[in-house]
Order: sequence, then C-alpha cells, then structure tokens
Amino acid sequence: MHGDSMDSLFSKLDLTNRLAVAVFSALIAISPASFAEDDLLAEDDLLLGDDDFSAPEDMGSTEASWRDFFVTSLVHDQTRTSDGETNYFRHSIRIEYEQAINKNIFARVDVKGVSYQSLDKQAKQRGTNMGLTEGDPYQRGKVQQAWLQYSQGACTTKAGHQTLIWGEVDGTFTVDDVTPFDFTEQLLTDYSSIRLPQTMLVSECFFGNQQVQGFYIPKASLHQTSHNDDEFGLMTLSMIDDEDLDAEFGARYKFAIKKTEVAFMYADLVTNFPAQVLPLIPLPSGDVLTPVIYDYQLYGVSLNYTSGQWLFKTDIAYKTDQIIDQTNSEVSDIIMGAAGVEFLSNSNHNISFGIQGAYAFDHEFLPDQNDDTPLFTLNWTKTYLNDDLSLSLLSNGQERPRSISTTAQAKYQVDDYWSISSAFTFSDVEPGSRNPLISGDNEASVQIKFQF
Amino acid sequence: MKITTSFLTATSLVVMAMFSLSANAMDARAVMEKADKLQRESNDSSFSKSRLSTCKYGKKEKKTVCTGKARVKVLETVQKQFGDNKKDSKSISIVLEPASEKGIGMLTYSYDDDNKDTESWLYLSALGKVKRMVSGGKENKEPTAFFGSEFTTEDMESGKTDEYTYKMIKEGPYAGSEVWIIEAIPTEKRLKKTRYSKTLTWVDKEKFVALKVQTYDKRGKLWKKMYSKNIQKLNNHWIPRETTIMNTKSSRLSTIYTDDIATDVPVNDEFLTQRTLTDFAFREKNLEKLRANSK
Repeated sequence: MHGDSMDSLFSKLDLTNRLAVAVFSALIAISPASFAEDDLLAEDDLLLGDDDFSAPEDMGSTEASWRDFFVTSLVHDQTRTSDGETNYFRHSIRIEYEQAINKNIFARVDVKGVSYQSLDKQAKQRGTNMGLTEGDPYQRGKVQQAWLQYSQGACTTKAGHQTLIWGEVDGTFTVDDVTPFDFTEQLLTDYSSIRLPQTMLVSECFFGNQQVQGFYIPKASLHQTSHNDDEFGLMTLSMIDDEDLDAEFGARYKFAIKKTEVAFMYADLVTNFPAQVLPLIPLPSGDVLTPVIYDYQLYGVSLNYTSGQWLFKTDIAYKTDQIIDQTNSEVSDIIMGAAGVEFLSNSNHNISFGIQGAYAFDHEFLPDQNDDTPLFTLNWTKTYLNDDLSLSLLSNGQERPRSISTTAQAKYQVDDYWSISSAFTFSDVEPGSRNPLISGDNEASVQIKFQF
Repeated sequence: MKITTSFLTATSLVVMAMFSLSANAMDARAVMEKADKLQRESNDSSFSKSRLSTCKYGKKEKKTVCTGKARVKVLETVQKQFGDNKKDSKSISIVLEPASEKGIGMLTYSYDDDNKDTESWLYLSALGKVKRMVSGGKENKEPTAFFGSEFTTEDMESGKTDEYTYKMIKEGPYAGSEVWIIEAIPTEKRLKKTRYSKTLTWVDKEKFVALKVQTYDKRGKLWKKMYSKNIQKLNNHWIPRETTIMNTKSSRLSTIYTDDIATDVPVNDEFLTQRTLTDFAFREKNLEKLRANSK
C-alpha cells in the first residue's frame, strides 16, 4: 500500500517532476556567466553593431608618384653659449632622392645647401679679429651621399660618396676609424650630418648568418673642423700635404651564433685627426704645432650579446704606429678597448653605459699617456606622447685630462611634417683635453625642421 | 521503477546539461584556436602595404570621427611563420611615410617559446648602420606601441591561446554575420605580461575572424575596442582590410588600412635577414616581386 501510494505519488508527480527537472537543467545548462552576461547586456547590447566609425578624410594618396622618391628638409639651426656667444646660426635645405634604377641597381643622392649667417662661427672665422666679430654670411653645398648600389647573387657593391661606421659601443670610437667627422655640423640635434662622407667602394657578401665586407677609399679624408683654408685654426687642410692622404682599405668578417654577433676587422688607414707635434709653425695669430698625419693598421674585434632586457657590447682594437708624443713624434702601438651595456626597463626606459680606454706599449718618452683615465659615456632615452616626444640625457668625457659634457636633449614631432629639437649642454674641460667632441662651452641649441 | 526512472531522467538531464556546459567551454577554446591558427596562416609568407592612421576621436552626429588631423604612416611588411606549429615568426617592416621616418627598417624575430627572447634590429638611416635592439623582458613589460599608434605589441601578437581560459558567452547576429562572443581570461602566467584582465571577442562563425574585440583593464573597466571591417577572401584566407582600435581612456584611435596584400607568396628566407636592411637593391628587387603579386 505504501508502495502503491508512492507509485501513485510519483506517477502524479512525474510530469511535474519532469518539467521541474527540465527547467532546472535548463537553468544549469545556461552558464552561470549568463548572470554576468545579463550585466553586460544591461550595459551594452553585445549583439548590436555600434560605434559606426568613419575613416579620417585626409588619408593621403596611395597612388605612386615621382614625389615618393624624394624627401625635402628645410632646417634652421641655432646654438648659443652661456656667454651669449652664438656658435651656430644657419639655415639649410636638404634633398634626398633614392630609387631602384632597375632590378639590380639602387641609387641614392643626398645633397644639402647651407646658408651660414653672420653670427655663425664658420662665418665669423672668415672675418677678422680671430673670429670674435660677425663675418659675412656665405653659402655652401655639401654632398652627404651619392652612390649606386649593385646587387647580384649573394653580394652587393656600393660605389660613391658614403659613410662606413664600424663598432658596437655607442659614443666610443675604438674601431670606428674609417669615416671622419664633420665638426662644422651641429652635433647634437641631427646625427645624419655629423659624419663626413668619402668616395669609397664597399662590397659585401652574405652567407646565411655570415657577412664579409671590404672597402677601398682612393684618398683619405680628415675630420673637418673649419670651412676656411686660411691660417686661422690649428688643423686646416692647407697645412697637410695632400700627398699624405693615402688610400685606405680594409675588411670585416661578421657572423652570428645564438645570441651573439661577432665581427673581426682589419684596415689600413690614415689618421682622421692629425697629431700636433713640434716644430712650431709661426703664424700671424701665434705659433702653432705642426699637424702631422700618419698611416697605421687597425686590427679589431667587436661583439654584442643580448639576453632579455640587456645588451652587452664590446670593441677591441690594436692600432699600430700611433703618434702620441707631440714633443718628438714618438710612435707606439696601442690597444684600445670599449665595453658597453644597454638596458631596456619594463617601462621602456633605455639606459646605456660605455667605457673606453687605451694603453700604449712604447711609452718610455710619453708624458704619462697611460695615466689618462678611461673615456665614459652614459645615456638615457625615453619616448613619450605616443612616441612624438623623445627625451634623452647624454653624458660623456673623462676625468683625466678632465673633459666632461652632459647634454639634455628633447625632440618633439609636432605632426607628420614639423619637428623641433633642443639641447642644453654643460661642459667642463681643462686644457690638454684630447676629446674633439667636447667643445668646453655650455650651450643651448635648437633646431626647427620641416620635412615633406 | 518510476522513482528510479525519474531519478535517472533527472540525473541524465543534469549530466547532459553539465556536458553542455563543458562542451561550450571546449568549443570556445576550439574556436579561438582555430581563429588564431587561420590568422597565423594568413600572415605566413605574406606581403602587405598598409596605412596606419592615428587620431583623437569624438562623436559627431552619432558617428565616431577623428577630431583632429590624423597622423599617417605607410609601411610595407613581409612576414613568414616558422617553427613546428608555425608560431615563430620573422618579419621586416619598412617605413615609406612620413618623410621624417622614411627609410627606417625594422627586422624582428619572434618566438613562441618564452625562454627565447625576441630579436630585433633597426636600420638607422642617419648613420647608415644596423643597430641591434634590446627586446625587453617578457614579464611585467609595458607593451610597446606599434609605431606610436594605439596598437601595441600585445594587441598584434598571435599564438598565445594556451595562456588564456575561454568561455562562450553568447551566439547570435552581429553586423550582418553570425558570431560567437567568447570571453578570454589570462592565466596566472599571462597576467604577469598583460595589461588586460579580460578580453571579449566576437568571432565570425563562417570566417573565424574576430569582428570585434573588447579589452578590459586590471580593474575590469573597458579599455580598448577593436573592429575589423571590409573582410575579403584572398587565397582562401579571410583578411580584414580595415582594423580600428579605439582607446576609450585616451580617446584616441588607430586604423590599419591594408591597401595591398599578397598571401602564400614565396618569401626568400634570406630576405628576412639583416641584408635587407642595408642592401637596398636586393630589398627592392624582392619587394617588386611581392608587390606584383599583391591585390
């Protein structure tokens, strides 16, 4: 009877039960997230199209045009020292052209015309009174690059006016001896003009992760410190015998293995920076040492190694026949080394540090050459405002002989055409400093550029 | 008997419901993995010429529009997938516009294996030199903006489906297509690298393309919305020709317009090396072949 009652009960409840179970199961089958989904729906109907976006009107043309091969830059550069002296005051127009001529040949031409205003130190040097008064403005053209590159198979050859930069450690010049500097250019706000291009032939062949490179320069060039061939200035080309500017050549073998890249280099070079030796040359402006250039060989090795947020770099060079004693033109082989490290933080601050030292082997008659302290560089860079603003702090120099310079630099890209760069430099230099990159002046620089 | 039957019926229904739940969860992962796989396949051996436009946005007559002049970059990119699961990639991007950045070339090797760092090299046109870049760590690393746009490296990466748990939220019509809406929650491992606490993806059921993505910050607030439009079929790959990402916090958006694209093209492995950054004749010779195949 009990069983019959139960059967009867379940029989009666069966439909109800089934319905309840079905509903209950349906509730389970709908994910618990559905309760959250209701929240989402309450905020925003997930299935409705929304945010009907319109493309910006001015997106530029996608049609190919002859203008695609050109870049034109109009630039104004100005630098003042803390003494109120103007060092740079110039305007320039630069035109860059590059195009594949045919399937194997590529051409690039980069020319610049500069108008040096009367306050510019180059114009002042052309004037009288030791460059302390305004000079006459003048214009000058410069070929930054002009070369043809031919590529076939695994190899490529580039012939013409160009630069060649070796080495890994930024801000040091252990193996970076091939291309001289143009010290008449504004160093801080535009790196593209500070190296002095030379007519050279560069060939490279690529074999997987290996590269072989060779170069030949028919006639060496020196650092340019002035446009003037007059007797003002210590190191002018007019004092150098042109016949001493021999040809230069060299080779580099580079390969990559796991996280490391290694390069071995050899070059037969002419010094970019004349040594200043006795005897003295009598000049109306005063006696100056005789600038002497010399040939030497460079044997170098560079490597970089990356691991996570770190990049380790080193350059080592053995250089023969360096004149390092100005009293008697004594030569010595030297070994130079530079080591650097770069770190990228989690918030994309880029910090790098480098140190460079040299040791002369034959130093019997040297005035404590080997007591020089190493050269250091320290650099911090970060971009802001969606990469439109780049801030950096650069410091380099050495303790003995004392030459230290710190530069705070900012570059702001206003839009796709206009940019403004500024730099503030604080220097501390004692007489006898051999660092040509540090002028000794506290300076404020600004560059305004329009590019299209 | 009836008790047993009812009990079994109820139990069966509950079990079926539970399977239905777990089937949905598997389906969500399967959908995302398939979508990711198809995206990587479309990127494999591909060439594209794209315009990247970025601007501040606002509402005008109920439409979202740029409120200022857009900043435009034009890039050509060649990419190839490598590795067993084609999750490693090598790519090279060359900037064509604006003039201030013309000629910048970036070579990147990315690896799925967390123990392998991304390698990248930048061609510095000012110095005429290739510089090896520091890639940055993978944990707690602030994602890098892609050429200053609202797209970050995280927004554009693929192949990380095993670092998320997925749940099917809803299915239905959206913007003329049938879609799944799938929620992705980063795993503990992923949480160290990402700035997003959650992602919702609207996946087209036919094309397995993400039509819309919403990302949420660590406090659960809506952060970015990404839309893909003008989806075209090319060599059996569905390619969105227009992808827009809107940052609701900064009121800034970026759009990638793919003007020309070629997929499944023969990309010389040697092209994806440092040689391409400095050997311009070699670069242009190879790019011309790729451009000729593009649409």
